[in-house]
Amino acid sequence: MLRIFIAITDNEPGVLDRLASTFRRRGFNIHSLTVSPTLDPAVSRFTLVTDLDDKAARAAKSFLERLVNIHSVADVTGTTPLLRDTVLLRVAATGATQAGLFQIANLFQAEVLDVGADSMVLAGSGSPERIEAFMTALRPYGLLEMGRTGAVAMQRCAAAASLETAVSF
Amino acid sequence: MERPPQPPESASASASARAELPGAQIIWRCLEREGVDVVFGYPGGTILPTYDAMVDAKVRHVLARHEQGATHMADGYARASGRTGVVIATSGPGATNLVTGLATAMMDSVPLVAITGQVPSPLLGTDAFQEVDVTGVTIPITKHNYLVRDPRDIAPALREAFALARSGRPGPVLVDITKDAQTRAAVFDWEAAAPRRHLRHVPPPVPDDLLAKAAAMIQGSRRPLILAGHGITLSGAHRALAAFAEKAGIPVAATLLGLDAFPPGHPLFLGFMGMHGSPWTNLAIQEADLLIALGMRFDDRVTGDPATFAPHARKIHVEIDATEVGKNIPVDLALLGDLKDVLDRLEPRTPSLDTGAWLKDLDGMKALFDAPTWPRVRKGEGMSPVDVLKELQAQAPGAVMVSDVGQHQMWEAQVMRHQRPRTLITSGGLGTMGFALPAAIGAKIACPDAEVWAVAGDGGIQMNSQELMTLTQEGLKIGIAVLNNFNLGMVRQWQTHFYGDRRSASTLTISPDFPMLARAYGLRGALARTPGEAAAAIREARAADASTLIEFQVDPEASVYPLIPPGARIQDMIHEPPSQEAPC
Ligand SMILES: Cc1ncc(C[n+]2csc(CCOP(=O)(O)OP(=O)(O)O)c2C)c(N)n1
Ligand SMILES: [Mg+2]
Repeated sequence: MLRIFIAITDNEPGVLDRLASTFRRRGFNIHSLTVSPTLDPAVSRFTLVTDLDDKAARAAKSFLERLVNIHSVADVTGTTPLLRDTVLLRVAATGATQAGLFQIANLFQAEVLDVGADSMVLAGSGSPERIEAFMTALRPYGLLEMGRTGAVAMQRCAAAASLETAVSF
Repeated sequence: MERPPQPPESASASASARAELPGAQIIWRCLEREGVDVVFGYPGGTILPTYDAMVDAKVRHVLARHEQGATHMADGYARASGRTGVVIATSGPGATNLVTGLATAMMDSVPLVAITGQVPSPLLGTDAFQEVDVTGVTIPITKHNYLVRDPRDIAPALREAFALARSGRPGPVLVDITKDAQTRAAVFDWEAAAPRRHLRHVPPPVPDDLLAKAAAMIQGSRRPLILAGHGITLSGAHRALAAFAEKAGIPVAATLLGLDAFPPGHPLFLGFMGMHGSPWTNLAIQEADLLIALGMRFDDRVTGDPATFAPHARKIHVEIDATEVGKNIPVDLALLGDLKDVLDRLEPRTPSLDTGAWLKDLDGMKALFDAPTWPRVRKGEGMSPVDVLKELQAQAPGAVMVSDVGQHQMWEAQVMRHQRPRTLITSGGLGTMGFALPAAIGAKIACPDAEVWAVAGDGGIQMNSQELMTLTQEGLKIGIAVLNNFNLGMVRQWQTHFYGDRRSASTLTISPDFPMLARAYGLRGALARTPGEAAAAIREARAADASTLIEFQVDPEASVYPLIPPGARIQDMIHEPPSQEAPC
């Protein structure tokens, strides 16, 4: 089952290495991973999506929590967190199919980033499900290349206070 | 990261605290302020500035003969004293030689600080001479590590390293310091370098309602059993354990590293559990209705097949490291916190149970296995290794025992009665051959007035025998018992039991003349082939001024029993060698 962890960490070299190493040595595969500084530039936020059963997820969380650089780890899987993911897609496009592609882009509020002689590059953003739907719609045209950020997650207002405010030192 | 410029030096009272010093001197100031009295190490190019500054430092340096030896010395020092051990090495090969020692300390939760030199920061990442990414290499075998490239970061890194090494579940921390960070100067400000992050993951005190829950579980139990692990010693909880066990009337079984956590002669003490534990101890686990696991981690050498481990028992786990809870064995109640604090607060809430019937059952089990004659080895050619250890026990009952890894380690654990905490030092988690001699040196330096014995096999003693030189150099007196069974005995035993006795690379057909080797290093050497010679050799070694290595030639075919095959059920324990005909 896909698990979504949010880790709040020190923003310093080596944190990613330690975090990844914690997963690697136990054979836990990382599905996607995003990192960026938080409102406090000395602190980073990781969103980590991974495929683990309950026991492994509990273990992963506590192994991460043991790392010195890590302030907190939340398994937000069950809280229906807000997720955003961005995809860049190169799609086969001929004069005849361009119009259809523009229509799909419009429907998904995607951007057309570039148009070439026989392909187009589209950027879509949204929940992972929405991106899947976007790709399904484009697939018949011929997908040539994909780059995807992986999910960034945040808990709903009702679910929790800011994870960042939990940071003490 | 850019830092604000340092304020100019003032002539105020804090002037000395704010003086600029080369990084190398800051290192020694920090070690002195941390109360370090001895470091173990080996010099080389990138750590030379620090060795130069050491000339003026008030810290004793013990020059080992190999960095692995130095790390085990620091480890033995830490285990024997309860203080943090310090090891220093150069970059590259010096640093990689620390790896086995760090992993050993990590597995057994030993507080160590390792300081390594690193190539000058402009050369980092260029595959410079003797450059190894040692922080990368040691991520999985340290609690934390640092790459320090700026002299201003030395004091904060070292202070945090010491705080981390001993806080929560202790362990090794490595600080890798570039050569230019050692030579460049910075303000040394001890106060400003105060650590904070070490407190991040130390659990808050266990709430009262959980203690009440534990007390209720104890109240409802008729066959309770305490499993005592290394955490007892690490948290200084042996008195608290005795008070708790006595008040509640609960018997105590011990892991390998918990054997010195409870008085061996105590009527509640059941002894050694696990793969080579005593049969009544393991059977008690299978019969118990409540296990109170104290600072132990349900290692596979303890549980055997986890699915059939302690099938009737509810489980309370007292542990400071949250990752251990439910990792190997599911538990009913976890008390996350410092063991001594938990036991001190649990004891007054604990009922006095009437466990008379249960204790009588256990006595019955002991009688079944004829406990006084325990442990048994098959009678074969030559002296019994168990008899040698019994003789050592008789002559040196209060000694600090430092064992290596193999059959002799298990016999040591079965035979010797470790009277006080920190009198059994051994590599439990990693099982590192070559540990005993250097760790015994560290233990002796930590406890100069204690009698210290290293017990090693003919295999393991050769893995760090170069440290015999360090013994003589430092003028230390310890005893070294080499149980020479002419085999990598534990490997041979597994081949006997699990590979149809096909012996593959387990016979040590040729070894050095051990007493002569000892003499070559300036020690006393002795050979014992009979029980009489053994008793005399031990007597003479104890009376002598210098360290003595005694080679005890023992039965090559003796095996350690009982033996629970790896992953097997406890009730499948083996008590004797396979019969000749049995196909394996
Ligand atoms: C560094 C290392 N290498 C290999 C092993 C695997 N091993 C475990 S016990 C053992 C045999 C030890 O032989 P010896 O030191 O003679 O002790 P004995 O078992 O004969 O008492 C070996 C090779 C180990 N534990 N550590
Ligand atoms: Mg041997």
